Amino acid sequence: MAQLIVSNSPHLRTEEDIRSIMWTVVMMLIPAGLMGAVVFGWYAAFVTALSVVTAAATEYVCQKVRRIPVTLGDGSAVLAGLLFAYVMPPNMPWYVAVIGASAAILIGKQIFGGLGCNIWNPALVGRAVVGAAYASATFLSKWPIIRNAAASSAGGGWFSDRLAAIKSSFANLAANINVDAVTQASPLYAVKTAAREGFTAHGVEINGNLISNLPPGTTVSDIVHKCDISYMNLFTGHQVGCIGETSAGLLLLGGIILIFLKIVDWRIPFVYILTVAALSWVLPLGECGWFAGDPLFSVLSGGLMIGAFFMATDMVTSPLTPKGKVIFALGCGILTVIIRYYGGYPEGVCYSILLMNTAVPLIDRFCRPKKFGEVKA
Amino acid sequence: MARTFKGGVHPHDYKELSKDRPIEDAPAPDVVFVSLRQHIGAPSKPVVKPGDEVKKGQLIAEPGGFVSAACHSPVSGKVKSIKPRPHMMGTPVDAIEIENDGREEWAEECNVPADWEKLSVDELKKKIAAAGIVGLGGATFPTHVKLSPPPDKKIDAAILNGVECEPYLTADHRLMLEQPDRVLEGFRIIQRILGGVKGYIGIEANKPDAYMLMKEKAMKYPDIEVVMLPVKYPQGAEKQLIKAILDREVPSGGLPMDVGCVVQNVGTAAAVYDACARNVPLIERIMTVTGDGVERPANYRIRIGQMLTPILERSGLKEGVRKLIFGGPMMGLAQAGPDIPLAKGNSGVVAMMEAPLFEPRMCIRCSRCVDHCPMGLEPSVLSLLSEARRYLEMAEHDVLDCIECGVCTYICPARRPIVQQIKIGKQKVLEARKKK
Repeated sequence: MAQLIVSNSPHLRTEEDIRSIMWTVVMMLIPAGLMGAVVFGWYAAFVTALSVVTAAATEYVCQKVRRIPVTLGDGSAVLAGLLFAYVMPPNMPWYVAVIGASAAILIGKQIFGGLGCNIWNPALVGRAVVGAAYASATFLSKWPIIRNAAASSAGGGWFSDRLAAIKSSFANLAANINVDAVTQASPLYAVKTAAREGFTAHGVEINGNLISNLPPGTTVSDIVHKCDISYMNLFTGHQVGCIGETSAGLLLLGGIILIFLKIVDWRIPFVYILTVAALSWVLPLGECGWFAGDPLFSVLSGGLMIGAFFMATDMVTSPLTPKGKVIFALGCGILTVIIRYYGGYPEGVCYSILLMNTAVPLIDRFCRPKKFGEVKA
Repeated sequence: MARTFKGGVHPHDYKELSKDRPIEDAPAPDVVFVSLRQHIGAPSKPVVKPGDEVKKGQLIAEPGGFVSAACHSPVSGKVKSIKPRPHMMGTPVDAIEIENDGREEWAEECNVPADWEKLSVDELKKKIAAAGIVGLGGATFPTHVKLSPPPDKKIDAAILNGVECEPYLTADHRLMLEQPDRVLEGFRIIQRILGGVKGYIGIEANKPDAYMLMKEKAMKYPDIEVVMLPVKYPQGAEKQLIKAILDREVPSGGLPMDVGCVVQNVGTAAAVYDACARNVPLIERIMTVTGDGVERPANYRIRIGQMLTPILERSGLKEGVRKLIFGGPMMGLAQAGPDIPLAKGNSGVVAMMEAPLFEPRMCIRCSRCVDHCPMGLEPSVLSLLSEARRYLEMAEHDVLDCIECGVCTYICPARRPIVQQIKIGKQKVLEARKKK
């Protein structure tokens, strides 16, 4: 008889492991990224790939330096690089992709000891580092215009239009770097600015439309309409924004599949999105009053979808128990709306999740599971 | 609403390998080694010495205390020696070696029918104690002790455990299918001993044939309810089974009797019947031999104390088998070799051709173990505390409530040895408490 292995029970293991989880999440993110490439052109795909490669290389170097097994195969570094690129504007300079992606792995993860030890979502740490380092850089506030957005949203030749955009996108490389010439405000920025300044006589110019003398009682939905923002474009991804954030629909689809695969706990995206919807309807934005918000616009725009389904649900940096997850998601939602409405940034998803990541150990301490046979007091 | 409990997992059960194989007699042994430690509690004390002639069913060792059990000779023949023999727990334990003379002569008063309904509760209990019956589900707690709750504990329900939630094992399944009357009569004896309490028989939905048969057979007894339970491990664990069937939670640190229940395995019930209605002590049991490491998975009627090796040969043990597990794959004990005498608690042997070694990673806090822990613990936290040797803090995280079912380790995508780390912590906490 061959040598028998004597080991402790259980002798069976489930199929699922870290590798299958991470690569499944990566797969669910691919459609949104492809949409980003279609909408913004090849340069967006290039900086995304560069982020992924940089993240993987940083992980490799860190693990070599630490003389520990290299675990690139588990896909977690690739995922962090991908997520970092997805929350960056498509016109970020290539060196920003390198700096941000390496910071995501180095500062976001390896410094703490690697996968499982980090406190904050690595991709968002990368995003925050870039945000701090290039606070005044134009690529973070001015977005490359989407060519012929009006024409295509009117329904004419969307595909041929996209094809032309892709063909000319490398030619647009220069334009991407020198963006001041062709930029457009992001929907969140546009609506926030219009809500603050559109009620005055001199008004504010948003993407070519002068918005002024808004009558009292104007709702956020009215402003969204005045800014020429279409909900359908927000849903399909035909909008300015970060590389992977454009298509709320594709992110929603990937997220729902992850929920069915039980990789994502439904509570986090559900509570997060619901909180944002409710609060953005209730709270006053700019000169718009109470209960005048536009929940649909708030949910579909910016980084909420990717944040709620792919960032806040990061296993390492979210709470352990169902109750904890609900509190965590609630906190993310509240902070997101507060930052969006009253903060200095148009978007609050990144910092709200990072702040709530910080609170996770505390949440875990107070949200213990209900023990079997606990003596009822 | 389906009756169940919170948590648990549903691994592939591999029961298809042996569930349709009728029970067959294992090859008669030339020699048996009856271990003196086949149960929880004090070891048995031999009452025979080398050279003695013994008959089948004859008492060869008496209980070594209240929580202990008697042992009987499974063959007729001659006592050869009493010395340490390999034991499934790892360290050798004294065993009585008896050479089988092949005559199968029963001891006096053994194998004689009796009308158990005419016996008093005390007489029934005495018979069960004298027959050396222990919990045959694997825990091997002496049955007569379990059937003698202190007078202040009011028992109102008896549960018969036909769940067999461990993957691979089909011994209880075959027993219910082939000898339903033996099981049912045994259960009625148990109900009677507990004061004519209501009886529940729990069977998982992956044994519909056994469920239908037991239901049909139990029709004539209005105080027995057969309950079909969704397939989920560890439903056969006492606390989970009580929760599933009666929706009662055994308090932390308590016993089933604290919520008015006594749980017995179907095999135990069959042994109770043998003891009370046939005057046959516990000298054989049903055991599954299965896994991809054997050519012919089967369910055997084995003699307590017979060696495993000839049975494995009969099943066609394959070359290159890598793991031999006593019990199921979730809680069973991997053995270093097959030369081990079988004992009362051996419900099955699983032979596996593959025994992958897992490279544990850092916990990624996926919370699978927390979501699936049937005891509502935080296994990931316990595992990290154990790794950091912060054992005493594990007590604050209720480590002593762990039933060691292994669900956390099964489900862990980081392949962490969670239940193993918890077992270490439990031991350390108990040691520290003893010192105080």
